[in-house]
Order: sequence, then structure tokens, then C-alpha cells
Amino acid sequence: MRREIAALLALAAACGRAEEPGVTTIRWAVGRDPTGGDEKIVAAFHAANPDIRVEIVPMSMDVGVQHDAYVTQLAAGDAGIDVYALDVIWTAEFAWNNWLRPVDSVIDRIGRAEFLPAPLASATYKGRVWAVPWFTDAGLLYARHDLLEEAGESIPERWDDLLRVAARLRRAPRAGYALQAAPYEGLVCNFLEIAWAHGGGALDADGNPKLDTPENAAALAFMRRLVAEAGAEGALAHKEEEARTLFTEGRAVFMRNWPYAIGLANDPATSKVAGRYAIAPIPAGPAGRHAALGGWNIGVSAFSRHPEAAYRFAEFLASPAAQVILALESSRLPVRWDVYEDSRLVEKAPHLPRLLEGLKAARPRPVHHRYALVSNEIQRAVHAVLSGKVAPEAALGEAQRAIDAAMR
Amino acid sequence: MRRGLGPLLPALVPAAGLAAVALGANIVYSVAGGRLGGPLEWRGAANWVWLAGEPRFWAATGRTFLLVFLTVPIEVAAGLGLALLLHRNLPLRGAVRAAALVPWALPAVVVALLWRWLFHDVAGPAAAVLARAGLGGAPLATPGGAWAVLVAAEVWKTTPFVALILLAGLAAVPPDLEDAAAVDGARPWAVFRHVTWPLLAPGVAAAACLRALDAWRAFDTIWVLTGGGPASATETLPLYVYEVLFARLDLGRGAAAAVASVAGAAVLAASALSIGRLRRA
Repeated sequence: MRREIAALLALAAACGRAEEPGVTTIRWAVGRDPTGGDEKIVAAFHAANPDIRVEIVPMSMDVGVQHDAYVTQLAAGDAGIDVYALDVIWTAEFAWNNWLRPVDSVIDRIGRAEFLPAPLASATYKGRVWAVPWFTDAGLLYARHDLLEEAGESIPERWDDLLRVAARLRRAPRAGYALQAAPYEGLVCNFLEIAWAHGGGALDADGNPKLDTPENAAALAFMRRLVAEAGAEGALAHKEEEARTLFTEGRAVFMRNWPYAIGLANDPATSKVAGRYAIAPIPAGPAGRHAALGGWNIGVSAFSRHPEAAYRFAEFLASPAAQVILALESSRLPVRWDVYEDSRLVEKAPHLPRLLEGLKAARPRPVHHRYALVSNEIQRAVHAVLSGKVAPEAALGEAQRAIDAAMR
Repeated sequence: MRRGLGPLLPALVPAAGLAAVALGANIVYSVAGGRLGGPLEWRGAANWVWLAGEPRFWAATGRTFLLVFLTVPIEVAAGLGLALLLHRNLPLRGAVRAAALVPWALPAVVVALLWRWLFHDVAGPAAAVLARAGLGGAPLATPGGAWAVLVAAEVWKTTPFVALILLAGLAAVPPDLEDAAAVDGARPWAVFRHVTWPLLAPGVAAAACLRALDAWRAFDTIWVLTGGGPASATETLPLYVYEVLFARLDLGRGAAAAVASVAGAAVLAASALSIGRLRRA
């Protein structure tokens, strides 16, 4: 039955394609791009590859919805999409389900050393590379240097300094530290950055989910203090845009956010703090400095009937030409070292070298085929502790039990 | 009263058939498991044993009952009041009636976004008023506040629906009866209590039953307004089932939770119907 439905869908998809002789058409599923950068990249690809046509299939901008749509298509063996844009956290799940073709050959053609290590690690599962890194992202610290100077402080290098300064400079309605603490994926990034700095994390040495460790409990206790002593009143409902609004309205001394906020915070039309803030790497802890890695990779569907064309397109997306367009048009961060030295880019984006410093501290979230489960339990546990309802050890123990029960 | 099922068959067969296929598939999955798209692996009662020992499932069930018992009485009382008001010969009656229905006509997601924005701690005007009153400016970040906003949004959206049903009921009350009672010297309250209410009661029971089932399965409003938070304080059964089925892709256990949710709805409907029957007897 399922196979029949898949065949019908594929037929319907095929009917929509006007095949010119000698031209292969492939379809690329990617989150809707309001900047228009994706279309420019496809146009550049067409110019260099007249024998392949790429059709963009725009997906929801809500990554959760996009994930569920992909999973439904792929579980049905749908051949209607050849190339998928994949959030870095999906690699293991998609590879484990045999939904992707390995892309080691593409990576080898480009050269492994050309890529920043963290994005490449996010695309690697069980020793093979399952997607071509496309663009990257990492958590950053935004700091109001004017307020810091006034108070005789400097930008904190360490988490405990950050807590001290942020708590000291909090003056309602101005928060000390704006973060993402609503129960969603962003909270996992915020937690892992602190947990990694304390020597914790989500997986044990064998790659199995392990949350109930003393390191994680210490990190969570610290995070609860950070939110209670320096956070905004509504922090537990904040995602990126709430934190960003607080910061650009001048209602936060520090903010943890992704690089996208740089442009908004620099623009006097959207920001009251233009020229009064600096970006810095995420603070360090006893176990070093680690920022959560974000970003997207390019996977080739296991069900694609045009894998060669799909590989060529994936390779093009990681080429300097495409990476420069992506950086300039869509403000996305390149995944290749050489592009950060590209003169076309450095001229227009002078903050890039500083960002590269932050990216070097980036670490992928756990690459695990049940990542969605682990992430959800982290969200619940961390949010319950930050709400002051549960002690860190109890919340982490409960999350561990839930994960163990669900994996059995 | 028995008229035979014949005339109902054209509607009954597809409706029952569709429900039976979906429910049947869920029941089959609830004793199985496996990957999405892969073969089923039989697990016997294992999914059900797991569900029975899952505190999160029971907490979500409790919250679902809480939502039903918090929202339905308010909706029925407010809906009755609204219906009695709209039943009068108000000026611009058509326009007033249409305006009263607007919340019901809006998609639930739009309603949820509207209320989320009203009580948004950074940008919401209602949250700003609360903050100035010293009640805390971030209601959606506290369990009590999130529940209050959720109940208010549900009541605001669905009271017009209850009013609409009761308005139809009121239209069916013969004005002669009410006039006759008034002529016999009954006061307005006595007319309502002994003439209008007995004729309206079946409509009230139907509206309450429909609303209870709707609240039981409510997903969109909660998903958009609170996402089940803060700290799972508003995670009801539908959100829990979604989480197990689609975030974890745990088909067997998710199906067991879904079947349990249907069973809960059946219990709710059966008790509502039997209460109605007892009162008629």
C-alpha cells in the first residue's frame, strides 16, 4: 500500500517536470528564503551546468514543521525530492533510517581540510559523511560595552564573571543577561554551552545518552542562578527574537544569540544600541569554551533517481562561488576557511574575522539517531529547573529514566 | 421512535468506516512498534504497560480533565448569557449577532497568536497593564499565568459557539408559552426557570457535551499559545500524543497513548449522555 502511494506521488511529481532532451531536472527542498539568495545560487549553478536544472521546493520556515514534512516524505520512499537542506541536528536520524546517500566522494573531491571541522563533524555519523556542509552558525555573546565601561568592567571571559557582572548591572526593567529559555531547541543550545564548559554534555564516551551526571547538575545549578539573578522576568518564554528585542531596545546588558542579530543590532532603524555593543565568544568554564553549532547541510536522497546530478549540485553549494553569494545575499556564514579570506566578502562584512574566532569554539550538538528524544527531555528537565520547580539532580534523573524507557 | 437505520446508511457507512479504519489502525499499532515505513514488530501489551507507568501521561491526562472542567462551565454560563442578550430585540440585531460570532469564526491558530501577543512579556499591551498593576509582566512564563491566559483564550473563542446553539434553542421556545406564563402572573425569573429553561436544557446539554469533547482534544490553541509550557505546565494529552508520535517517532507507544485519549473522550461523552438521560427520567 505504502509503495503504491509513493509510486503515485513520484508519478505526480514526474508529470510536473518538463524534461528537455539532455537536461536532468532535480528538485531541492529548502526552507523558504526571504532574502532571495538561494535563487541566485541556483542561477549561478545553471550558468555553469547547462545540463542540469534545479527546481527549488520551498519548505516551511519553522524547522520543526520542515523536519516532520521530510520524515513523512522519506518514510514513504518518495523520489520527488533529490536534494534536501538539512539542519545539522538531523544527520544521524536521517542516516540511521537509510534516507541519505553518503557524500564522502564529494567531500574528498573538495578536500576535507577545506572545511571548518565542526560543520563537517555535524554531517558525520558512524565514520561516514552523510551531507555536504552548507552554512554554519554558532552561539555568540553580545555585550553592551558602554554600560560595562561605565561600571568599570570588561567583557567577561568566564561564565562566573558573566554571572557576577550581569547580576550587578541588572536594573529592572533592564535585564543582566538575555537568553533563549523557552522549552524548545534553542534552550538545548543554551544549556549545552554551559554544560560543556562544566565538563558535562548529553552523551557518554560510548555515544549513549547520559544526562544524570554531576557535571550536568552543576551546570544546571549555575544556569538557574544565571536566570534567577540576571535574567529578564519573562526569560522562560523567550526565544531568539524576544532576547534580540530586549537587547536592541537597550533592555539587556548581555545577550546570548546567533550571529543573525548583528545586522539588526547595527541598524539604527531596528536598534537603540547601534555602536554601543560588541560581540565576543561564548564564555569559558572549568572545561573550556564551547559554543553550540548551528547551520545547515546538504543531503542527497537515497530515493533520488538522479544521484549524479544531485551530487554535482551539492558540491556546487559548497563551492567558494556559492558560499560568497550565500554570505553576501543571505548573511549566512561560510563553512570553508578560504572563503573567510575572500576579498569580496571581507570588504563588506568586516566582523567576519571576529565571528571566525567564535566559530572555532563551536561544537556540534550530540549526533545521535534519537536526538529528537534526547533534546526534548533536556528541554523539559532544564525548563523545570529554571522554573524553580525541581532540583537539578532530580530533573536530570527523571529525564534519564524517560530516555532509557523510550529507547528500550 | 425506532425508524430503522436505512435512511442513515449513506451518511453512516463512510463516517463510521473512516473512524473505524483510523481507530483500528491505531489499535493495531498500539500492540506493535517499529520504524516509520518499516515492518511492524509485535510487542503485545508492552506499550500499554509502559504507558501505565509513565508519569507524564497521567499528568497530561489530569491536565486535560482540568482544561475541560475549567473551560466548559464558564463557556456554558457565558454562552447562555450571550444567547439571552442576542435573543432580545436589540437595535442592529443582525450586526450585533454577526459581531458576537467573530471569535468563533477566527482560526484557532490566529486566536492563539492574538492572545500570545496580548500577553507577550516584551511587546504585549495586556502584559504591560499587568506589570503596572504589580501582577507580574510575564504571565506566559509562569504556570498559573499560562493557565489563566489559556482558559481566557479558549473561553473567548468558543463562547459564541455555545451562544449560537442556545440561540437556536431559544428561537424554538414558543413566545406564546412565555406570554401565557407572564399573563398568569409569573415573574421573569419564574418564566425562565419553569418555561424557557426546560425547553432549552437539551440544547445546553448538547452544547456542553460538544464543548467538553472539543476541549478534550484541543491542540492548536495550546500548541501555539504555550507549546505545553512553561515546564510542561500546560501539556495536555493531545500535545503528549503528538510528542511521542511525531517528535520521538515512537509509533507503538504513541498509538497506545492516542487510543487511551480516545477512550477518555468516550468516557467523557458517555457520562455526559447518561447525566442527560438521568435528568430526563
